[in-house]
Amino acid sequence: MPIVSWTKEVSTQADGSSHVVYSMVESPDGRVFTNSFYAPVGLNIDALIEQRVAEQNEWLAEAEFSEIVGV
Amino acid sequence: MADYFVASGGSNTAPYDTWAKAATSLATALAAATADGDRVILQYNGIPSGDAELSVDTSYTIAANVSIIASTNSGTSTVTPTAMGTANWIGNSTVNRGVTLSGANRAAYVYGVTLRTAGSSADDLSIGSSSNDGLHIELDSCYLWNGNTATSSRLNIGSSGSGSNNGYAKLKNCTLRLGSTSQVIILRSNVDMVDCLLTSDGSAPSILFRSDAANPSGAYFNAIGCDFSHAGSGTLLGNCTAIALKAEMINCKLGTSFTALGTQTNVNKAGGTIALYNCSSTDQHYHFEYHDSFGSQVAETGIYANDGALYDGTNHLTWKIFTTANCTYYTPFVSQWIEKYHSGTSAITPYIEILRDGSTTPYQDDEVWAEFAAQATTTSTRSTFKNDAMTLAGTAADQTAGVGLSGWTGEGGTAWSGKLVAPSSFTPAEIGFLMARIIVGQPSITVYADPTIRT
Repeated sequence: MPIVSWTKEVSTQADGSSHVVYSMVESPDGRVFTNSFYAPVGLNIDALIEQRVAEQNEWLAEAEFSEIVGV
Repeated sequence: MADYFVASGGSNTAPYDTWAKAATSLATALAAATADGDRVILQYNGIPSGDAELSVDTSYTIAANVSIIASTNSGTSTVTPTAMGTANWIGNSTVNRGVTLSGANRAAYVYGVTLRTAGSSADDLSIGSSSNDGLHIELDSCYLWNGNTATSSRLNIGSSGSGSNNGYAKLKNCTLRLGSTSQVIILRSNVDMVDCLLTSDGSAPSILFRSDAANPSGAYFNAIGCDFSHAGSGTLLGNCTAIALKAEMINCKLGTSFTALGTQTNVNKAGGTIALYNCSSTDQHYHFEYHDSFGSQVAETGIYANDGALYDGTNHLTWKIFTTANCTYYTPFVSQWIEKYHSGTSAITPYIEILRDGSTTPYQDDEVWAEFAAQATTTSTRSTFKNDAMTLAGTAADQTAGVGLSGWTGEGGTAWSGKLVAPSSFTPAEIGFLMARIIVGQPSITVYADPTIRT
């Protein structure tokens, strides 16, 4: 049950940095996981979100395993 | 009250009351220190070899309300507290040995002690035990060096028990060091940290804190003036699967682009929640965040009400509130309180200006509302509450139009200005704080709220 897509909303702050809200959609259940971070000027926002997606996929895999083995 | 000395060069002669007769084992001195107020004085650079390189997993049991103080060895009764640092330790420097400080229903103080684990097979470093309930322990200038490199090794702080969860741990000016990026600091019961450091000499964890996974009841964590920036863009509070944990950080230095709250198995407030007051990776002193599984609020400086809140007397900020897929009208996201000191006694109708960016459709009163509280009860401190939510089982209605888009800066070309208004006036009867908080029952939306209570 991996993350199959993600979206982001970026709001620019007064100092030029960004606040990023991103939502990751899981398949096939369609669960949506939302989180956020501040991004300094120059940060590759998409790369960081991709990293978070990979971490979320690990989380989902562990949760699925725990559910299967009943822990 | 007596002093019990511990030093590698002691003669190990009871009652261990001089440096010359010092015990050559910390456990020996702790076993002798059975009266409240006793002190165990440990030579900071003379740790007995059996303690410095433990041969087995070891739990040091505190038998009374005692203190353990690392000190120079003056040869006299003078105690000069001196931290062991990274040159000396109790534990092991090469192979895996679990190290635990425990003591049921004790109140203990520890100064300057370094506890160290090593090796690659998992063993934990534990301040307090998961089976020894009721320990109150205060660590001052200690170094908790979980050098074990196993991903499942843990640095456990706080105590708990199989049937209850009474425990308190305070770490002041302590250093925390982890041996793997996968390691997590486990918080049990009540934990306070003051002026602590996650040292960059250790691994940068992808998840810094979470609650225990195996013991009952909840946990509370407060950190003030700490430097956790070594955690970088990692997660501050991870998945609290078995125990709810409420975390607060105040005036802490954090990593760039950190995630405050990781995904929770319990998609409600029964998992982890975290509030961050003036915590940032930068020199900005206006950050204020709160996160739970229903949503988040953060400081926003790009969109603001023109006559709204200022964080430094000149520059504006608003509260950006965004919800997850988990909140509902019945179990909404609830912001932190906005407070305004009020001493007037005339009737007032408080309200909050809000903005919806990206749509001209007004938010309705089952989606976004405010709760107001005032000291409107004569001869009582009890608050009187009002809110502008849709009545239960009622019909949703648009919230009231606000100041208008000319009163806001930073929104896109399409937006809606509204306000959340108390449905009737308050007549304050006592001096005190007028309070308001924003409540969002609609999943996956964003609301900008000017954190100013207007009347």
